[in-house]
Amino acid sequence: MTWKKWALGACAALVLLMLSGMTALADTRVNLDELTKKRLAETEAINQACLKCHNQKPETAGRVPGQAPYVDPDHYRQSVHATIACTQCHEDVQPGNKPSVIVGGRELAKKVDKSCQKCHADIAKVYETSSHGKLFQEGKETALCSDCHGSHNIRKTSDPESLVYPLNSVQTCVKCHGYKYEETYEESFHGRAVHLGSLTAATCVSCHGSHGILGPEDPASSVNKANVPETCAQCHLKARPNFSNGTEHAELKPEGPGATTYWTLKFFTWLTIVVVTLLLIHVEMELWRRYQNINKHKG
Amino acid sequence: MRSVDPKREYERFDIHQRIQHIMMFTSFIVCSFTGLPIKYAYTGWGQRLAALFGGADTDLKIHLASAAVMLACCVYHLIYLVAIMARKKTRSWATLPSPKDFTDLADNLRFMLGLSKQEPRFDRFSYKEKFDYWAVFWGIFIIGGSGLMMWFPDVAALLAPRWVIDASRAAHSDEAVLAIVVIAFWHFYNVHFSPTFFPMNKLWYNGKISRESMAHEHPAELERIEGSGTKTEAGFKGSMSASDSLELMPGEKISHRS
Repeated sequence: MTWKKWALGACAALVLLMLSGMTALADTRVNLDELTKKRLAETEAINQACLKCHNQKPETAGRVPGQAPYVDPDHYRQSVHATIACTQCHEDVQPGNKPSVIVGGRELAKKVDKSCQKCHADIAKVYETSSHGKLFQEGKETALCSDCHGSHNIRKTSDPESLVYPLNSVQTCVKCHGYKYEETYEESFHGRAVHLGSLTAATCVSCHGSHGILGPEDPASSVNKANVPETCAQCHLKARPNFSNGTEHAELKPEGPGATTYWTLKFFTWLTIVVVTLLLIHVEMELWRRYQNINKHKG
Repeated sequence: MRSVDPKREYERFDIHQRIQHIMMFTSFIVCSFTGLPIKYAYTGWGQRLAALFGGADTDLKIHLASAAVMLACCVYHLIYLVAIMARKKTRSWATLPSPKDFTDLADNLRFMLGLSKQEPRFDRFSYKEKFDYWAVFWGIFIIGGSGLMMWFPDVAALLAPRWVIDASRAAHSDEAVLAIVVIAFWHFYNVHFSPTFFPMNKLWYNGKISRESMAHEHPAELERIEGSGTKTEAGFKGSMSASDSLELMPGEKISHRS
C-alpha cells in the first residue's frame, strides 16, 4: 500500500507549505503595517501642519487677501490621494516655510500638473500625444490634469462623486467644449440614457478617448471619419461604414446636416397640434349638442 | 315585417379582434410609460419615472419587450385579415375610407351645430372608428419602423445613412406623443368619457353590441343585417353582405339577454 504513504506524505507537505506561507504572510503584514503606520504618521504630520493655516473657510467665496487658500480637509481625506502629503504635489512648499514665489490659479495648476507626472508617468506619456498635451507644449491654454479630475477632490472613476464618473463626465467636458456639444449629445440616445442613470451608455470619452484625445482631423483620432465605424464597433456589433456616413453632433437647424431631423420634428409638432385641435373641437361640438338636447328635454 | 327581439345582442368584435385590441392597448400603455422618460430624459419626472422601472437599462428592456408584443399584435392582425378573407372566400373593404365618410362627417358637423336634425346613419364603421383604425395603422409603420431601426442599429446602418436614422428617431417619439394625446383625448372620450358609454364601452371585453346601441351607432348596418323587407331567419343571412358585416349565423353568434 505505497500509494497511501505517498498521499499521506503529499498532504503533510501541503500542510507544512501552507503553514510556512501563512507565517511568512503574517510576518510581512506586520512589517507592512509598521511601514504604513510610519508613513501615514509622517504624512499626517505634514498635512496637519499645512492645514493649520489652510483650514480657515472664508466667509465669502473666493480668495481672501492675506488669508491662506482654503482646503476642505474632509474633501481631501475622502479623495484617492488622502494618504499622500500635501508636499508631494506642492513640491516647492515645506511645512512652516512660505515659498519665495506664490502662484495661484492657472499658474498653480500648471505647476502641480508636473507633480502628477511623477506617479502617473504612463498617463503623462499618453497625454503628451493628445491634442490637449500638444497645446500645453505650445504654451497655449488647454485642459490640465486638474481641469478634468479636480484637485483636492480627486476620486476614482467608479465613484459617483468623481468628476469623471460617467454621469458627471459630460458636464466636465462641456465646461470648455461648449453648449453645442452638450445640447446635441443630450439629444442623442446615448445622452438620454446617461441622463436616466445608465452607466453603460456612451459618454464623451467612450468615442473621443480621454488622455490621448485627438481632434477629428487627425488620422489617428478615434473620431476621424475613417475610424468612426471601428469606434462605434466598440459597443455596436460590427463596424458599419454608415455609422460615419453623416454628421455626429448635428444641430437641429433648418439648414445643414441636422435639417432632416429638424423638419421631421417640425412636421410632427404641427401634425400633433392640428390633429389634436380638430379632434378636441369635434368632442366639444358633440358635448355641446348633447347639452342642448338635455336642455330641450328639460324644457 | 319580421319581428326582432329588441334585447338582442350582436357580436361586433370576434375573439381575435378582442385579443388584438388587448395586446395593442397593454403594450401601448407600457411603451408609453417606459418611452416617455426617454423622450423627457432631462426632466426630473422623466428620471423618476425611469427609476421606477429600475433605471435606464431596465426601462429600455421593458420598452423593447412591450414593443415586441405590439409588433406581434400587428403581425397577428395582418395574418388575421388574410385568413378571414380566405375563410370567408370574400373580401371586406368595410374599413377603407369611402365617400360616405366625408358626407357623414359633413352631416355630423351640421347636426352637432344644430343646423340639421338628422344624424348621419353610420354603417359598419363610422368615420370616427375608421380614423382610429388608420391612425394606428399609420402609427405602427412610423413607430414600429423607426423603433426597429433603433433596436437594431447595426442593421439600420447597413441599410440607411445617418440622416435617415436620425430623422426616424425623431419621428419615433413625436409620433408616439401624438398617439398618446389622441388616445387620451379622442379615444378615451369616445369609449370611456362619452355620456353614452361612461365609465366604459364593454365591447372590448365581451365583443357584443346591443341592438339598441347598434340602432343608434350603426343604423345603416343594422338595417342591412335585419333587412328592410320581410325576411325569414334563413333568408336574412343571404340578404346581408356577409363579408362586410358580422358573420351572423342564426343561433350561433347571436345571444339573447333575456
